[in-house]
Amino acid sequence: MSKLPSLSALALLLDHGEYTATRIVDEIEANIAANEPQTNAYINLFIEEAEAKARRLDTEGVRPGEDKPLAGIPIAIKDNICVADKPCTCASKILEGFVASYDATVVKRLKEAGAIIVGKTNLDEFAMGSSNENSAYGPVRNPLDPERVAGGSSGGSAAAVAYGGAVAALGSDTGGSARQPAAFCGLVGFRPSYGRVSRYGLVAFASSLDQVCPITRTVEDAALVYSVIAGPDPDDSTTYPSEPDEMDLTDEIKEGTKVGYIKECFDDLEDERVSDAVLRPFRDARVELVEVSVPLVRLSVAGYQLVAMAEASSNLARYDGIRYGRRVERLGLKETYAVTRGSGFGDEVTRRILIGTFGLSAGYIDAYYNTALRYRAALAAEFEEAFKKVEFLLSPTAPTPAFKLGEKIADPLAMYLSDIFTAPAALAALPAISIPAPDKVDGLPVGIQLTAPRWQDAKLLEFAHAVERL
Amino acid sequence: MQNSWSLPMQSKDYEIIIGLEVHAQLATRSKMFCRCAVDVNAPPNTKVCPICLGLPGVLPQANDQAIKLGIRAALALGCEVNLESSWARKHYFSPDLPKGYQITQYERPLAEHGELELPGMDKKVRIRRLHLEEDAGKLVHSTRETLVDFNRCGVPLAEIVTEPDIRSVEEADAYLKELRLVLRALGVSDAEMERGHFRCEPNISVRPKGEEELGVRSEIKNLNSFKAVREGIQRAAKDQIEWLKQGKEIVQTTYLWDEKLRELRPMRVKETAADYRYFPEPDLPPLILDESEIDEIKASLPELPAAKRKRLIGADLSEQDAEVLAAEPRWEEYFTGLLDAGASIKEASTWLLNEARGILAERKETLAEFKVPIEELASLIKLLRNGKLTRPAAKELLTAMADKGKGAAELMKELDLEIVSDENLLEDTARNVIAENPDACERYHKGKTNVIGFLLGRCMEKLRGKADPKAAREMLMKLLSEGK
Amino acid sequence: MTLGAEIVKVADLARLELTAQEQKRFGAEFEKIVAYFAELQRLKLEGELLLGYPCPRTPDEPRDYAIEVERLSKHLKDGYFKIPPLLA
Repeated sequence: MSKLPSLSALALLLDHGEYTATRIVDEIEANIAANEPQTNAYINLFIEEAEAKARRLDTEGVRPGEDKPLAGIPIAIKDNICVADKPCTCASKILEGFVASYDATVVKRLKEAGAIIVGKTNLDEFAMGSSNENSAYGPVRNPLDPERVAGGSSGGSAAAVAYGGAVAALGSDTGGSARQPAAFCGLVGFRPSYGRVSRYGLVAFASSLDQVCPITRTVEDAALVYSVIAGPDPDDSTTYPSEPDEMDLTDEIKEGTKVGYIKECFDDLEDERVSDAVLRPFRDARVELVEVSVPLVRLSVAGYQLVAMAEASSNLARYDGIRYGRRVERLGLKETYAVTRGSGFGDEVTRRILIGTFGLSAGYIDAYYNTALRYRAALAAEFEEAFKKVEFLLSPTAPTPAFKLGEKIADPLAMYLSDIFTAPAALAALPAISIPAPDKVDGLPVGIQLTAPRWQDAKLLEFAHAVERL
Repeated sequence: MQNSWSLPMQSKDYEIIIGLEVHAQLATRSKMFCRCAVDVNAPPNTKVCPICLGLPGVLPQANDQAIKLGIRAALALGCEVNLESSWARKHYFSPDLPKGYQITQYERPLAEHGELELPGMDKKVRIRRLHLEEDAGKLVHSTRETLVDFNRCGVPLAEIVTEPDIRSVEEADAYLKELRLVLRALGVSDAEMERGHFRCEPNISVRPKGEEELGVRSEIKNLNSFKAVREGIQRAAKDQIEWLKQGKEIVQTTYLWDEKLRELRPMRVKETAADYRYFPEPDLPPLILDESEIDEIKASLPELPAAKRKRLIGADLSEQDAEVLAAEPRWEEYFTGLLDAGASIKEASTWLLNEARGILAERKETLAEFKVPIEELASLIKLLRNGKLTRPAAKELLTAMADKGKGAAELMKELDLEIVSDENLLEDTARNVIAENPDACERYHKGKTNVIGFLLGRCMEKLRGKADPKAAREMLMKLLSEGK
Repeated sequence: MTLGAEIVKVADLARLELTAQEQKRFGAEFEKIVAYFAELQRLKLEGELLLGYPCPRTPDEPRDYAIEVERLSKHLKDGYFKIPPLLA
């Protein structure tokens, strides 16, 4: 595996002139060459452009600093986030031939911060999946164990960072799509409060849930990328109108910090080793660990999937072959639509569009979609109650470590249930982070998930940074 | 052409119930949810961007001015403006709808519960709701292909929906015309039907008179003129009455108006049975308004046509003249200009609404083509009032001004139209008239004093209508009494 | 009625062509998935999750974007997008 230092370490090395951007890109290129044939983390690579930009930065002597905190840092972008003049496939046949005409706000901000865009990473088609097996470009394998999945849907972003194919990556998280692959690959995945990071240019899957997330080696790296991409954006009307809080990352945990472990999550775990791995670091720490009940999390997958599928059925209606992407022409328009879409979308996307359409259709909307909205509000209220007792909530990121390829693909409901711990924070619009537990299970990483009240992103990162050191 | 405006004889036993949905294009510079310029006549697909084309990853941004115009229209229509309204997605597949859904307002519209009074009908039509939404693109059809232009896609619309309060074609027509006037007076919309700024979709049902329950509705789309609206409603009502009389069941149907054949074409049932799957637009938070903003807009509303009409009728204008002014902003502007220039309402009404309007009507010209500027018509009125012109001479002068576009005083001199009050000339003329009409003079002396009018007429004739009538009359009386 | 039986209608509404085999397979899966989702109905919950901040409003100032449709599609004619005839 890669010997590449973390983003924050590299930034320091670059600043001190002990490393060059060109050298980082060269190392990344070597890692890609060695791992990509097996891992399949990238859909598109821009190595030559990355090299050219690195050379330019080196020649001009641009180093990471106030203006350009990410100068010379190679970053991978999940291929459902638009980069101008590059294809944006969403790992779907329906977008064949499509080239984005603009930069997503997060990409624009990364570029302005001096980051080098290495390539676009593989994902479950339109970010729908938990294993990265639903890709028109083939599955992603876990660099730590090629028999296992890298997680999903941001499997490519996680795998690329894990094997050193990028220093950091952007993923997206709708119900766990950044946190879960980060956990499976032994990385940090941070989902900001809904509204903290602009979604402009993130191809919509479920608009009320989607967030762009950093996937990095350390919490400090995640905080650095987050502080570049976060903040209000006039192009996204759902971004929170004020600037994010300042952060102060220290190694010490504040004495007496109250952490609640979510009873239902631990009760339902089949593998006690996962629960031990998640809880152990806290036992010796100076935190007050208490049990907190959030009973509604048990049905979070039902609530999450209904909302997400309904919104997906709406968001994916635009892929009709009229203006861009795939078109399979038939004599009539309606047939052209149905054949284009029927052949352009893979099984999982088709399944979700169908169920989502059903959940919104006349006669069913109240029993399904509206019921899920009421569930969502009630779940958020339960979280609010819980946060009256504790500062942070604790759970595993996923019920198991990375599972094997093919293990769940034939059983959609089983696959959905692997989001059971990540879906609640997404539904309640809360910030949540997955960090690797110090202990492994069967040699595989396990994710610790910490959740904070809404807009407490900075506090959550500060705490996670300290926990990472335990 | 058949007698399309009257219903069959037996139809007096039935009542027609009409509700109207109007889509008015809001007069903004940019689109509802992106900043593309509103310019539907630009070459195809040149006023488009990733947002209105529905490219992957884009998000909408609500146009401030469209919201303000919507509030303006709502207040003018007496609606309650909701302090919190929400956006929704309405789903259907159509090649002119790039996202596969239209962003509109559904559960909580911008405004509700208004009404519009129909002029001269003593009737109010209740308005159920007014909401904002985006327009679709345009389709150009041929037998070989259909072409799509998205320049219009995303243009802001206000949808204004009535309660089913309208009971006749005439009321529907009056409602639409009054609504158009209001929107124009507010500057909310150009509201030109032929250019698609103002589109009407009526729904029509009929029921036997005295019945409470509403009948099954027919809806009509693609009506692009007032005439088409009238004909379409008439036809739909006629058909329904016919079916009811034959005891047929009426099926809810949406029709397309065929402008060429001037008839209704039912859409396929499948197209009608839409399931729009409305749900709250997750990309736009609810629209929250401040009372103070609404008050500010309320205070800025101009005088509305109905109030103007009342004021003008109250100010000695005939109902007909008031209607012209209320209906036609150009005429109203000209009229007000005359008043500002010192003309009385009576004078302005006579010389603008009767004389000038008559001249233009004869020439089939519009006021825009009228060559007489406001100040020149005002000066003609002044010349008349100051006794420099007789009435007939003033009419002649106005016609000449309309021909040549010259000033009133200049042209009066040029055409020698100034009043004749010169004693000598009047005396000469009067003597001649008396000499030429001995019979009349004899009758005058026998006490038929009203014959003086006839003699005055002769004088006028000789002086081409320019004789000062008062001076000429006095001269005649003086000479007649002398010759006694 | 269940989703399994509704599959044909829903696929039509969503403009997705399914083979007979797919209809059968998806139909069977849906029965199971939707039954699981339906558990939410037993909770009898109330409420609405609010974003907590209002819709921003953008000034009405036109901007030229000048997107090249040639880069999006090859189905073009005279600057229009071309599709199969709607009125045959």
